[in-house]
Amino acid sequence: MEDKREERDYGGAKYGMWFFLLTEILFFGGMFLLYSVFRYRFPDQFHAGASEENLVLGSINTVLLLTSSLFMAAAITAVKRGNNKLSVILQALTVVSGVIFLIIKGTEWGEKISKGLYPASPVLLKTGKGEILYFGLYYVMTGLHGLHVLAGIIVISFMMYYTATGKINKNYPVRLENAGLYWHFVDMVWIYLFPLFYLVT
Amino acid sequence: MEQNKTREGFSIVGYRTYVFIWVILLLLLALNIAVSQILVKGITVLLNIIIASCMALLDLVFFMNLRHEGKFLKLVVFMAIAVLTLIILFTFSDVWFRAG
Repeated sequence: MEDKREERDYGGAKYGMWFFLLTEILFFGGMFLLYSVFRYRFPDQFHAGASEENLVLGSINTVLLLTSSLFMAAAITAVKRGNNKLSVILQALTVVSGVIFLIIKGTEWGEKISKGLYPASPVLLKTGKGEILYFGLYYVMTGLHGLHVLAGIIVISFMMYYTATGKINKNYPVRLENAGLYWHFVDMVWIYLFPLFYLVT
Repeated sequence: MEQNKTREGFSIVGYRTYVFIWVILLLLLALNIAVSQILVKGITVLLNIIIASCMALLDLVFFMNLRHEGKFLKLVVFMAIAVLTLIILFTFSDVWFRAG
């Protein structure tokens, strides 16, 4: 008789995600290192650059990501307790928070671009080296973080489908747990980006 | 902290624990903003990074549930963070003492 049980390696699936996240730590770590060195070299120009940031919008975005992390963590608990319907709602709230985050970020980028503050712009080229570096790092770091948020939104949208159809369930919630790990990691990167760009004025 | 395990052995963290951590994270965020507005520069950057690190640690331990993972994974995550810290420290040991 053929054994129809599916072999699933719960621990292996979790390890895989964690190891991927460790490569992400080093990926963002390199950029944080660049930021630190240039901020040390050009402290006044970094302060001047940071004065262009909108602290209110940055704070709202931080609250949004922290709250989305709460929704995501609760969505995992809901699945493990067998409440897939509640989990889908919580995942949807996570996605909505992520979308609002991106809209606000886009508004901030729009404001700066309309002032002529974008890489290699005539306005920026008239300023010092430090400000050029500050805005270069700002666009690269927040842009790559934004791409990660977008990737997280797409992944969680798939997880919503899997949860609604029962492919993710209390017996095997690891896909959702891994999506959660990714989302919390993206949140963690923002926890550092926020003080570096918004609170250094 | 409320926490239990399913028959399959997955750890389940209760909603109340997550809400509690979320409230602490929001309070730390408020503290971080307040510190940047009130204190003198120089100390603020260091304090901002320390507060952000506390927030990241809460995220890692509670939301990412690292506290319920095995010792090996905890060690690997610690090593990755330690390596990054060493890279930053070694780079700064060059930047600080380099003339010009």
